Amino acid sequence: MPRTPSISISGVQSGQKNIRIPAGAIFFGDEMDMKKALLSLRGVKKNYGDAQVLRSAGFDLHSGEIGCLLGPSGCGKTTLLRCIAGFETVDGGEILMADEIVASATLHQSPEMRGLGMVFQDYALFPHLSVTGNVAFGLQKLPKREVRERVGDLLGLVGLANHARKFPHELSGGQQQRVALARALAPEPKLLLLDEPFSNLDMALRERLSAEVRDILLKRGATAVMVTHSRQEAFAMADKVGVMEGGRIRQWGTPGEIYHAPADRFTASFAGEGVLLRGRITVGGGVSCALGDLGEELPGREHGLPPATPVDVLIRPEDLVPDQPDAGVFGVILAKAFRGPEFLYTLQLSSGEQVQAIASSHRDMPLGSQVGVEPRLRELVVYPAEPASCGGVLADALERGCDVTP
Amino acid sequence: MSSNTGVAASAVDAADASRLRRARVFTARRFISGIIALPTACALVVILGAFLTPAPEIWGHMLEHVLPDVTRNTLLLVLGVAVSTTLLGVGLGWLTGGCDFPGRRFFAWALMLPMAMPAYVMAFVSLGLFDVLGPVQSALRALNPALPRWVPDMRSTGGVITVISLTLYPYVYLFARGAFLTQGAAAVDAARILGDSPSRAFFRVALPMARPWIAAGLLLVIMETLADFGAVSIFNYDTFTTAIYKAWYGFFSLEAAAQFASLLVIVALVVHGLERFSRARMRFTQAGRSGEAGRVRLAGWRAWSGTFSCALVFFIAFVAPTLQLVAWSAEAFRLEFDGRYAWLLLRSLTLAGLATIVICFAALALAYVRRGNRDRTTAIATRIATLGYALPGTVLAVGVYIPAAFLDNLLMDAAGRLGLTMGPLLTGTAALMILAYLIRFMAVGFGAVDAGLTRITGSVDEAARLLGARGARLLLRVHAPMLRRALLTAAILVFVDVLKEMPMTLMTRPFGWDTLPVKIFELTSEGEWERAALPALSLVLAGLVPVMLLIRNTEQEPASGRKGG
Repeated sequence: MPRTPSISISGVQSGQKNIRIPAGAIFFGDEMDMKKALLSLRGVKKNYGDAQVLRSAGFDLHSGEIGCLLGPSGCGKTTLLRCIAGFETVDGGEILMADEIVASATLHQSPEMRGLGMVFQDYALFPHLSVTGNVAFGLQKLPKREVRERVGDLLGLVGLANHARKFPHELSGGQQQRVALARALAPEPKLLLLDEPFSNLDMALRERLSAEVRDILLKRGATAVMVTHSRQEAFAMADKVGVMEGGRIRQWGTPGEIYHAPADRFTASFAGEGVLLRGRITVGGGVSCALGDLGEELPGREHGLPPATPVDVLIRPEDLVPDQPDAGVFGVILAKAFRGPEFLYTLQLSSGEQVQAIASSHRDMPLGSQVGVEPRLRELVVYPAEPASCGGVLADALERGCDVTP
Repeated sequence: MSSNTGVAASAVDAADASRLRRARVFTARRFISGIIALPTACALVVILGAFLTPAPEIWGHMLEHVLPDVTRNTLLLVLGVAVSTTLLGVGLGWLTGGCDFPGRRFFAWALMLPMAMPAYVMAFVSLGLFDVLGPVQSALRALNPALPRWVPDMRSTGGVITVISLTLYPYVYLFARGAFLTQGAAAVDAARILGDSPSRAFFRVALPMARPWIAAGLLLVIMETLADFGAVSIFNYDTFTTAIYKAWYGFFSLEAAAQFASLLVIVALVVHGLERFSRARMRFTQAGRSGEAGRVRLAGWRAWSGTFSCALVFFIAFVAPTLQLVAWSAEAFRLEFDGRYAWLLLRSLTLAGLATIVICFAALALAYVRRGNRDRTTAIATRIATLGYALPGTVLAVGVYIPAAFLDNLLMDAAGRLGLTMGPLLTGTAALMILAYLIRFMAVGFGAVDAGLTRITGSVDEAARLLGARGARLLLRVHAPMLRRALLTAAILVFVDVLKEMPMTLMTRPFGWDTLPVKIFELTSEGEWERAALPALSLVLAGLVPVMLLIRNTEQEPASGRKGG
């Protein structure tokens, strides 16, 4: 895979991901497939009256993995989490933990029997108990000395050893969050559930804490399912991401797969920026589009579509390198957004189509100037063509209310 | 975080205000708040002063023969009512707020209806129901002549406690249920996932978390119990309130009445202080999403016993007494419903209407003053002006009568010296009654108006001003429409409270001025239950209006709270 300088400079985070996540997935992948999944969901359905909140949700999560349910509000992700927890009954399908059915249309194991931990969106700390009391709450059956030890260990782990005697209202939001995590981890649950755990925190704290929480979970070897609507959070935390929409899981895969090889248009637009360009399949399995002939040598060319099929090809901003005078394709800068490390440029090609590209903010190219663009794709992602309105810039496509169903 | 900025902002305000204070000590606004607080302050000083002034001779007699009984009775009553309202309120609050069973939605609001029943109405209805010739004993006698012996005597300490508890438990119920609804669900979920069964989660989490709420409701119950005059006098159960009344109207010793009042007021102020404290604590324990998610779904016999308990309380506390009132009213209707009843009704309504207008204006003025001046002086004036609600009516009657009589004597002396003859301006006139109502119910009106006014934030004013609305235009086009509902709520609450008020009216009214409660007092002291039923039923119906308002507010809150989650 050719790694372009622009990607490694501009997308520190995504660059890191490219190395870590797919590598990890491949490394664990074979081993994991042999093992049974710790948590399995098969076609889970849930209705509230006439509203189908979950239509058919399914995935497998293996021991030690952090899974993340990502989706817009109202997609059913929180309901799915509450079904796993046992706060909601399911109307169809089944939920298995360690190969044992815990929920189906006819069976419902109550939450206290499932041996789970959960971090709630608003933490739900017990205001009448101190930090110690909160963390020790689930340790009723242990002898006192062990309780003290474990609470001490956990408070050390989350960095709150000095706050053991305080009450929740005396703590900051980030500290409350860590107490909630320690409380959930204390009984050593088989599976930890996290419901939008960072949504009540400000941006700076959110990034720091999500990295911290991931470290803590890895240290404990915990298996976890998290719900979020933020792809940054999902990518930062998860080994596996499930993109949800309309009560279904659209795609279940590593963050790298979700971002670089989205299974459908919805996932493509929800997982990142970029555009869909109109093109046709070439004889070699690549695509001929406004950027020229692409992808005959790339993974993803085995899509099975016959030559000359009209398709939309996914171009992420980092797939294009602007400011290449030797390039065969030129674009006019229509808009640009300064993002600190890089600029996001929106360019208009001679075909009239728009593309997005990122480049280091060391250089500031003026609006209206014409620049050469060179495509450097990592993977070919094509979808059979749809009405013209659904091509173009991805973020807009969602807002235009385009039908993004496959 | 917002509360921190609020504190910081008010600190800045206070600093600004203190700078202003040096410049101008007396502003028109402060003057207004002072005037509104003055009557309450006067009444308080007079009553507390009685504690320090030398007691009249008769007080020695009362100290020896009346005070011990009165103290014991009052303590027993408060204790009994506190225990039974806690059990009823918390139990029912958990059932409708934290569990699910058939009829839960109906009972959630129906169980608040007994609030509409004044304790003195409940008192005489229960006496009538359990009377030797009443429906309960008659029905039992029809079954077996020996059965009525087993009917407990209602005219007992237990009887008074039961009657008062049945009308006051909704306070605890309301607060406890609110607590279980707003902060129970998420915490109970958390406890269950940590391994607790539903009932364990109730005792380990939901109940301890609700403690400040329950305490707030319970302290209101204690305040009301201490203040109750009508129910205890119908039961001939001597407490501080009846002692005050008897000292004044039985022994004609206003001084002895003031001595009793001074003792009662100290207790009432302590309870009031505790109530404010527990309200402040409620803020700390406000954690977690509200919602229906955490309900414990009762099944089988548990579900039906939940339904049965709610139905039983609802029947005893509301349905049965209302039916009895309707039955009596139907009998007495032709007898009572004539021109005299129309006059009685008209006078009650006029008096309540007048008091409502005065109180709403005063409340509006005070709320605006406080909005503009967030300084200590105004805060203290507001506290004093709204303190009257914590003071029993009998105490306040003494507290307003003594200074009013003093003023009247001064005026009549002065007039006499000028060779004029004039009657008292205040004592024995409707003016004094309205003043007493103002002191007692200011807090009710102020609370409602202030809640409306705080919704008009500074930025609303600023936005309107930038769009060109200022002065009268701002008040008319922005404030008036935004305040309309708050004012209406204030008016309804005050109107019904005044309409139901008994002891102050009884003790400060002009001669021969009967209102519905006074009529009920007179008729019931002669044992004429049937004839008292019609005015009582009228009061219950009027009382249902504010309860409905309350129900609408509380039933809306959880729904709007859920949007965030």
